[in-house]
Amino acid sequence: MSSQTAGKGSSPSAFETIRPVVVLVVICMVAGALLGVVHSVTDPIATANAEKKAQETYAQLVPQAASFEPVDCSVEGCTAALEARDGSGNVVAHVIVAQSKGYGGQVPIAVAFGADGKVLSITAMSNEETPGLGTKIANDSYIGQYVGLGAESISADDIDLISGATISSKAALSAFNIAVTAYEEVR
Amino acid sequence: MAEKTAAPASESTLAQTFSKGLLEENPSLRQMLGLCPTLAVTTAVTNGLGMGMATTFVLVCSGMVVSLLRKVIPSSVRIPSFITIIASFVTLVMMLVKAYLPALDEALGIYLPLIVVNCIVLGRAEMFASKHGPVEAAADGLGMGLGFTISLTLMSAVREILGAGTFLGVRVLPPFIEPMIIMVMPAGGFAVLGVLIAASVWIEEHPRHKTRYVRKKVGPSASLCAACPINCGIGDPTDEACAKDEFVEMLEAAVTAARREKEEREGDA
Amino acid sequence: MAQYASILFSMILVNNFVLVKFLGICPFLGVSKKFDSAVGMGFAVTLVMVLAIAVTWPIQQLLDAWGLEYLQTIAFILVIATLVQLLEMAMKRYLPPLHASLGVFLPLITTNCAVLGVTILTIDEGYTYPQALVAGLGAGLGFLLAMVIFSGVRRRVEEAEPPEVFQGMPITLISAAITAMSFMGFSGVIDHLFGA
Repeated sequence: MSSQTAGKGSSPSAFETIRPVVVLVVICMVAGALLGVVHSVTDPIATANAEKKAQETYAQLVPQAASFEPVDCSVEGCTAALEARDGSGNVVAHVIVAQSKGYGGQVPIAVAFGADGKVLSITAMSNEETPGLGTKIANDSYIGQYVGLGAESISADDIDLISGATISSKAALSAFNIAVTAYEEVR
Repeated sequence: MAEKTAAPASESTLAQTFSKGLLEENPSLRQMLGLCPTLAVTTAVTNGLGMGMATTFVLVCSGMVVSLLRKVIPSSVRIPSFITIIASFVTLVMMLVKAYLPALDEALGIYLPLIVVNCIVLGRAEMFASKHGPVEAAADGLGMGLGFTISLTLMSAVREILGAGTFLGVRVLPPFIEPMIIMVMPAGGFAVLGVLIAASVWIEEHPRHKTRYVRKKVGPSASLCAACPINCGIGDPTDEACAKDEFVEMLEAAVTAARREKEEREGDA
Repeated sequence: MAQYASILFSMILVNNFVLVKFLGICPFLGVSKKFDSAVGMGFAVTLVMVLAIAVTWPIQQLLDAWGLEYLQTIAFILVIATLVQLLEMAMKRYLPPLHASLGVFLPLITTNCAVLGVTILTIDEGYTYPQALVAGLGAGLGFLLAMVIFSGVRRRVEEAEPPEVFQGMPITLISAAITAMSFMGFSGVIDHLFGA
C-alpha cells in the first residue's frame, strides 16, 4: 500500500499538468467556432453594404445608366473600372475608381468618362485627410475643376490647388491621372 | 441587544460597484488607462460615443464570461485565457459594426481591434471579474465602460466643437469663427486630455467639492497597480518611486485613522 | 532600395507611432521619465515589433488561405503574448546581460497597442514580407525616437514647476502636445525626399 505523506497531498496526475493547456485549447476552439457562426451571418451583410455603397456612388456619377459592368483594370492605383450601360446595353460611360497616397492615407476618387472621352462627373470618396482642410477636396470648388477635362494627364499648373491642403489636392490630382491611364486601357 | 455584524469593508452594494467607474475610478481620467483610443478616436462625438459603447459591450460581456469561468480556468493560463475571451468579444463587435454600422467601422479603423489591448478591459477582467460573481462583474464592467464613454464623449465634444466647429455633424460655431484644426490633430488630442485632467483635479480639490481624499498627482499608485500582472506600462518598472506616492500614503493614513476611530466608538458603546 | 528607405523614414517621422498614430501611449507617458528607461523601452519595443511581424505576417497568409481572416485579432494577440513570454525566457537563459537591461520592460509590451497595431497595420497596407519587416523596424525606431526626445522634454518640465492642478500627468500631456506639433512638420518631406 502506497503511503502518502500526511497533509502534503498526492503528486499531480498527468491530467493535472496538462489541464491548463486543455482548458486554454477548449476556450480557443469554442471561441473560434462561435465566431465562425457569427461571421457567416454578418459577412454577407457587410459585403452587401459595401456593394450598395459602391453602386450608389456610381449611380450618382452616371444617373442615366441602368447597370454597371465591372471590367479588368491592371493599372496600379486603379481599384475598380466599370462600363456604364443604358437600358439597351449600350456603353454610355466608363467609371474608374483610382487612388493615390495623400496625407492621412489613400485618397480615392471616382471619375466617370463620357462617350466623348471627357470627364462627365467626378467625386472624391471618403478619405482620412485632415478634416476641414484636406477634406475640402470633396468640395465642388476643387473637384469641380476636373469636370469637362479631356482624358489626358494634367499637372499642378493646370488647376487650382487648395491652399493649406497641397498634399491632399495633389493626391487627388495623381489619382485623376491614374484614372486617365486606366481609362485609356479599358475604353 | 442584537448586534449586527458589520459587513466587511471590501464589499459594496451593486450600485456602488457600478458607480465607482463613473468618476472616482474613472478609467481615463483617474486610472490613466486606455489612453490610446482616448487620444486617437475623439475627433468627433459620434466616434467617441461609438468607441465607448463598443468598449462597454466588450467589458460587460467579457467580464461576465470570465466571472462564470473563474473557477474553471487554472491560474497559470488565466491571462492567455482572458485574452482569448476578450479578443473573441472584440472580434464579435468588429463583425457586428462592419455589418450594421459601416460608417463607424471606417471612422474607428484600426482602433476597433485595438480594444483587445485596452488596459481597461484586461485590467477589470484580472482585478475584478475573476474574483466576483457575474452580476457584479457586469455592473463593474458597465460602470467602467460608461465612465470611459463619458470621458471619451467629453473629449470628443471639445475637440469637435473647437476643431471642426460642429457637434454631431451639425455646425454650432458661428460662421465667422474659423475652427482650430489643430484640435482634431494629434497635438490637440494630447493638449485637450491634459487640460481635462487638470480640470478634474481642480474640481476635486476645490474646497466646495472637497471629497474624502485630496490627491496631488494623478496616475499610478500602489493601490491600483499592486500585484497587477497587466503591466499597462504606465509605471516605470525601474523607478521605485512609482510604486508609492503621496496619495497612497494619505489613503493609508485615512484608513488607519478611520479604523482607530471606529474601534474607539465601539469601545465606548 | 529607395522604397525601403521611404517606408523606413515614413514610419519613423511622418507616421510616427506615438506622436502621429497614438499607439503605445501608455509606456510613452509612463516610462519616459528617465533617459535610461526610455532607451531601454524603445529598444525592447523595436525588437518585439520586428519579431512579431516576422511571425504574424506568415500567419496572416495562412488565415487568408483558409478564409479565416476574422480570427486575425485573436491569433495575433495570442502570438504576441506567447512571443514575448518566450523571448523573455530565451533572453534570461542565453543573453543575461541583455535581459538585465531590456528584460524588465518585456512584460509591459504584451498589452502594448503599438505592437498589435504595427502587425495589423503592415497587413492593411499590403506590404510584402521584407517591406513589413522594414516597416516594423521603422515603427520601433520612431517609438524610440519619440521616447528619447520626450524624456529630455520631461526633465526640463520637472525643473519648471507648473501650477498645482497641472502637476504630474496634465503637464506631461501638454508637453507631449508640443512635441507632437514638432513632428507635424515632417509630412510631405518624405515623399519628395525619395521621389516616391
